[in-house]
Amino acid sequence: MENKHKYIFILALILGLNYTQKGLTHGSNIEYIFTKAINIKATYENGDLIKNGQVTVYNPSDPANPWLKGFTNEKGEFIFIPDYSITGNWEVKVRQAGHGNIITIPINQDSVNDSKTETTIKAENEGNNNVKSLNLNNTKYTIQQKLIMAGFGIWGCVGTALYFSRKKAEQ
Amino acid sequence: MHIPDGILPPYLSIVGYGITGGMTWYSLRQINREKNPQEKIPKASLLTAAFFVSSLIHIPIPPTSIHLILNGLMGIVLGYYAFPAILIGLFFQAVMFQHGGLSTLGINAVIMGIPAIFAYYIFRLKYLLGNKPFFTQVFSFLAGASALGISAAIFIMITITNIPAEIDANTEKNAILASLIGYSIQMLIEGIFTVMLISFLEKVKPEILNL
Repeated sequence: MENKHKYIFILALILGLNYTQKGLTHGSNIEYIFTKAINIKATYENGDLIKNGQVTVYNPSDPANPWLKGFTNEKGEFIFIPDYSITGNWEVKVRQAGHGNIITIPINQDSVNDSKTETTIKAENEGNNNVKSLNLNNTKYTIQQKLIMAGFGIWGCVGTALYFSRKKAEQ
Repeated sequence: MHIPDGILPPYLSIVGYGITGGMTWYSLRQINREKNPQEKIPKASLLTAAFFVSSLIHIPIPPTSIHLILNGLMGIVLGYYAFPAILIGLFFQAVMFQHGGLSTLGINAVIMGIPAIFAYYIFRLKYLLGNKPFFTQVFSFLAGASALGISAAIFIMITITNIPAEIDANTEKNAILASLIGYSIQMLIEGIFTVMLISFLEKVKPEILNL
């Protein structure tokens, strides 16, 4: 009978120690979730990267105050996860030495759903690309497109010159 | 040197448009005083085309690249026609290539147009010293380089005094001041290019320069 009490006491002591182990050992925990981020790539008009440019992100509910600040990396990129509960037009501004650009990113209900779907898919597939990339140089024309546009611009000026030259010759 | 949309506060864009409006009026008034105001329009049109495409031609100067502005050259050849010509060129650059911006069109015209008029007067100083080719070269260099220098100075003054509170002002100031190195090199290139072109025009078609 005495032995029985002894075993119960030891068992109670072990269980008690186990219960308080979390508090005594300052245990830590790391969790992860897959979520959809936005990758901004900032370039100058000529395609040069804006390295270490200052980035300010504004959410639609408070467009006067920056929601997030940061710097672009050596690749001209900046990655952030917007608060998908704030829907509307988010604005991202990149500035360096008086140059820069501003981009508007619409976050609507579809984006929220898309984000959730993406989370599930990536979790299943151990996703490796849950970042939506956006180029901050709003107009990414090809060289051919630029040449055609420049050609039209030049032809407009040359045409004007020819018109006024003709008038002069007539006089 | 083109300030894009969204960088400057709205009041400055309005001030820029105000100054540009005044300068355009004054330039057109000066043009209208000429015997035949339409005579130089073909020349102005062709130089507007050159100004328009010059922003697409990049000269690599590590770690970045620059493009010619040609406002000094335009000032020398066109005089007061240069301001409206630059304004039109900037408009097309902004609309077609988003180089600059529509809200900042006025301020960009101030940055590049007023130094062009300044270059015109710098070049005219050579007449005080005689019409020798050497002075043509010296003053065309001074006009080309100083127009770019003044444009850079106005650009730096505007951007450095209008850094928004939400970004790190010291980092931005340092970046702006570092860009001075590039502008110094660009000044030399613009000056040399202006000398080459003006010297060529002086030999081949001096009437273009009103010499």
